[in-house]
Amino acid sequence: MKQKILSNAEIIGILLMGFVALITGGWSVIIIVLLIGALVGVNTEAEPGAWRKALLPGAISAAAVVLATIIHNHVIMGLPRQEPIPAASTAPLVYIGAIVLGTAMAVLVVALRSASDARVRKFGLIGLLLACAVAFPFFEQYAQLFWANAIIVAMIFAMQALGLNIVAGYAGMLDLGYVAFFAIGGYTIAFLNSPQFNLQVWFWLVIWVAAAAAALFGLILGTPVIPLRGDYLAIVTLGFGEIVPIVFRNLNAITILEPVSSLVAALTGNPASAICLVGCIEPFNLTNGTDGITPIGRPIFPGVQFVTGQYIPWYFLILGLLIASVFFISRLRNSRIGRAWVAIREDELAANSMGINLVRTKLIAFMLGAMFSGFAGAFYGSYVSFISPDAFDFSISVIVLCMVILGGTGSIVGVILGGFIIKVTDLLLLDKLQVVMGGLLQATLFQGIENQGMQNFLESLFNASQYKLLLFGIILVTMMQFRPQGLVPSTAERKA
Amino acid sequence: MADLLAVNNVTKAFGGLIAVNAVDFHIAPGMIAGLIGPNGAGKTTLFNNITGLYTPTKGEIVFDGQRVSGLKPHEVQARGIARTFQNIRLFGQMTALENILVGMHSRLKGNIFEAFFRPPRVRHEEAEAAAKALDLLDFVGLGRKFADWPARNLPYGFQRRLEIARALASDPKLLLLDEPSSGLNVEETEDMAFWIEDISRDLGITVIMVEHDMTLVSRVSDRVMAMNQGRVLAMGSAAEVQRHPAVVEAYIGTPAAAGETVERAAS
Repeated sequence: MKQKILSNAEIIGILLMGFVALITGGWSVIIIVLLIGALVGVNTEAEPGAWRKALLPGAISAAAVVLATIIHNHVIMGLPRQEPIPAASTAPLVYIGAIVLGTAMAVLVVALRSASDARVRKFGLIGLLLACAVAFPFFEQYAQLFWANAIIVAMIFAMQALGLNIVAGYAGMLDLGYVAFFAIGGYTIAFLNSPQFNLQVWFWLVIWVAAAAAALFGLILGTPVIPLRGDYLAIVTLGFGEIVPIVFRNLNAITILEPVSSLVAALTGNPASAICLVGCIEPFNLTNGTDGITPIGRPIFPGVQFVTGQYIPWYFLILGLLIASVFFISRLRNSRIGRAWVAIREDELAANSMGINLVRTKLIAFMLGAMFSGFAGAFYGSYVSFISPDAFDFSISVIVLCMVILGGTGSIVGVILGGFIIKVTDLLLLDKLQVVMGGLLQATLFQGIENQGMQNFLESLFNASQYKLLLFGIILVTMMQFRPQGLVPSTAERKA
Repeated sequence: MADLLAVNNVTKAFGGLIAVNAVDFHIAPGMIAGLIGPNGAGKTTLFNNITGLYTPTKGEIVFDGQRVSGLKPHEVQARGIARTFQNIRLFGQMTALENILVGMHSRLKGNIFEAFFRPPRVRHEEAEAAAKALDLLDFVGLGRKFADWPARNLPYGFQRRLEIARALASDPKLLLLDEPSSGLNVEETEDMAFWIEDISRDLGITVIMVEHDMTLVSRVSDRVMAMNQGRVLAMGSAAEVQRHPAVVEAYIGTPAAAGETVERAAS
């Protein structure tokens, strides 16, 4: 059989990335060719001299992406309502440069993967990734992409997904109310570092308090439920995830009476004899209800200002945390406790018979997962500087679970990738798609329709952001059908 | 010599069904004991009682001078009883090496903080554990080249051996093997006999095995116990037990009953 030039994964990658290039355009082509180059590089089998085999697929993929960008820059930009792109990005030299860059990326990745030196193999890719990650925000700022916010939020969610990966991916427990711990983390920093109570506790202490608070609630919730069968945990966490935001919504007018004296008051018919404990003069406002709490304290670091709109400090702070999380979790996975988690997921009864204390081990996983979520919640609160119960609805639990499943349960790289794909799609691509669709509608259908109501209807019908949850649902079903192990399966899955 | 394991009058009932009925026996250290009986005789239930998966309804189990009935499986394992399963229960997605390392769980000490900081003590412990796990792979004849294989990709016979290696990883005093030769061909069963003898002789581990293959049982067992319908029928050497009328009856039926069946079928 004649060997195919592009593998199936590469073709799917080109189609998806090409679509992204089609709706973003401008300087984004540089980032997209690097991504597709990396995909080709990872997809090519590693062996000495394999880099030659990546040349052609790398060039084809990069050329396809560039072609999509050209269509955006010269056709779609002609549509009404499009956001302007920097003129420099449409120079022919940029297109040629992008093809070269994408090919070079593919070749470099293959060369690093098939290096004869084991140390190069191990650290080469990590170094390359790190270099790209460090270069990204500066390039993003120069290219006026406005992607930094989406990437920062994606990193916060990736951190959360890493935590859920401990619970669901390693230990195999289904946690459907993961958002509750995110909310607890967010509200902890809001209480301790905002005008709500005029507290300004040191930021670097507060984040740990937030993580500890979330872990404590994990312990309280997990202790009675974890000894039961797995399904009960799913039900209880589902309920907990619903309860927590409602509690925060309703704790805006608290009055607590001392119970014994209020019973006496009720019996004697003398309401004045009830002793009031909290909120006596006027009801105590803990969470400010649906209005939420703002502004929330920012990280303090000598010489660096953390403010809204200045993305670079935030980016590096959260990138650092993400790297630390990856380091921490991969060490855990390859330790006695990490092996015990996976053993429990694989066969609970056998794990128990091999000397693993089920309750204790699962509880540790559950608490660590909660801790990660609380930690991420605290950073999220500080980053957006605003916390309200609406930010923590059930869909967040589902989306984070979606990230884990899409990326690959139990795989650190997969889970981060899943987090990025979902959050970037959510915050960035769907909006871009909506702008393109709006322009397309205006240029075509609206020409023949005078009726404003009809125009509004069509506009909202083709509003891509509205189909967000539908899209995630389709992704989940498709993944389950065609690739249940996720995009980047964990090591053992890959060898199977 | 004091008994290593004493099963004192143990009964296990599931509602009205009495799976194990007043079973009483003692195992001396260093012995290889065979447990035979037709399907549903209560052999595996007895194993589950010993390893803590079930708590006996009546009676008690004493291991190495300590009462183990009523303890949780991981507590029993920590006291030195390891087991294999009738239907292989490996951790399919973990590598062969990791499977054995899980078997060492109760012998290792690292907690989550040590997992993160990896102090020299833990690093040393992990390296030692990995070396020992590789030795165990060698011991059961699997070889080191399979160390990185996910367990579920190993051939069936290798999975059986890996399960034994995993059970041995915790340095048990007593090893319970549940049908070690099931699914193995004649040659593999012969190899299994060698390993069981090695485990007993070289490692000094007492072995109790549930087994249907009488050749294997007669060859390695110092003592055989036959069960049927939850009761112990006979105990003694393999030859004695095989000749015991109650055992013959359990497996083949009484001559009278067999004759009756034939007559009924003919009419």
